[in-house]
Amino acid sequence: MAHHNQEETQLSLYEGDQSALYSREFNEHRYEDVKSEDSKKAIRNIWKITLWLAIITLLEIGQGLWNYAGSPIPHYLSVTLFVVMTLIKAYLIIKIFMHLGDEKKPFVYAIALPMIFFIWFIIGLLADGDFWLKMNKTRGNSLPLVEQQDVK
Amino acid sequence: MVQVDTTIDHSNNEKWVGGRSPFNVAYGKIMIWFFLVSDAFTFGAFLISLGTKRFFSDFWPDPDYVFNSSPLTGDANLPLLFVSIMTFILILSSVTMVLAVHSGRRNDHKGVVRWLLLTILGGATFLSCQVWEWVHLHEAGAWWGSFTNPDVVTKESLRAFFNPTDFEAMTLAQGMEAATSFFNYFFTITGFHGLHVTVGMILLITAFVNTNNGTYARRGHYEMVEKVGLYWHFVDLVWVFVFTFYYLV
Repeated sequence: MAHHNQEETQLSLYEGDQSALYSREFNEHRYEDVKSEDSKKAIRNIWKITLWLAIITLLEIGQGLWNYAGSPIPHYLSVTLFVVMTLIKAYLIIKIFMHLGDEKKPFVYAIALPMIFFIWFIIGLLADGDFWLKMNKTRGNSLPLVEQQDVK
Repeated sequence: MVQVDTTIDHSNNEKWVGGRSPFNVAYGKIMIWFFLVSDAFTFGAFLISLGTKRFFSDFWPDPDYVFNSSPLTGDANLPLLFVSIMTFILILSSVTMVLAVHSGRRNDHKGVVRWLLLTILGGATFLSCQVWEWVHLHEAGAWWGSFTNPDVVTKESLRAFFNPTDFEAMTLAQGMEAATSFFNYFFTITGFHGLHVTVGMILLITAFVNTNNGTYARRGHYEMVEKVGLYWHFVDLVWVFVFTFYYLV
């Protein structure tokens, strides 16, 4: 009987106040004490992720300063490392801090899949910039291309 | 009381036949996520267009030389120091935000108040830092459309922004074009990000006042804190990319 009543409540909330249904009735942590062991474990996890974000940021800064001091690694490798570290940070923030990792898979895909447009977006436009630089320097391919020495 | 349409067969547990959200997420939270997706494309367009311009240029100002000052350190050469501090402030404000959301989900009123207040403080500190940086660069002669007049700009006036090898190799025209693009994009992108931080501050303060007034406690859930939190994390997320593509690469 009690079960039936609960379903009735949920049904009316779905038609009326969705927030009350999904953020209150279906909120699995609703009756969890913030000082309980489960809650403390989740908080420890947040600080663990914070530590990782801080470590990766320090690595980025370290590499930036190393480049400034004149590191021997080539420019493209340095850029790749920066991008990889940035993507790891983004992944941690989205999955843990924004709780996307806790959502249902179809919702995760609904958010994440549109981002694949960026792949073509980046390749296409950076290649375009590169092409126009070449055209500019060779007066539309009528002069031989003299490569600028990679100074960084 | 809202009328319930009893003609729907709810005994069917299939997820896509109606009667419940297959995502198990409230409408408002889905919509803030979709807004953030669209905003990601706006920021992505800015950053990719910056990349296009950079691939188009033989020379580019070196961030280690442009951003080498901090408040109270005079003329000391401290590349990356101040922006690193700003980055850590924003990451920490993201952490306090996620702790506010954590407390909200567990109906811990005091926790939400405390962590929201700390988040607001972090956001205000970050904004103040950004104001300092803008003012500092403006004093160094950089602004939207600076370095476009060949009668006024000398190559010497661009020295501070480039690494010495580039500076010797480039012509005045190349230096002017690179510096103009660099600062136009800098003020546009960090300005648009700063606008987002400002909007986030308004949302945070609103959520803070509502929490203090017990609005969310009466409602029985802190979903608004979660939604503001999603927006605030996104602002931090954008900064992660701005930090890389403006200050490091």
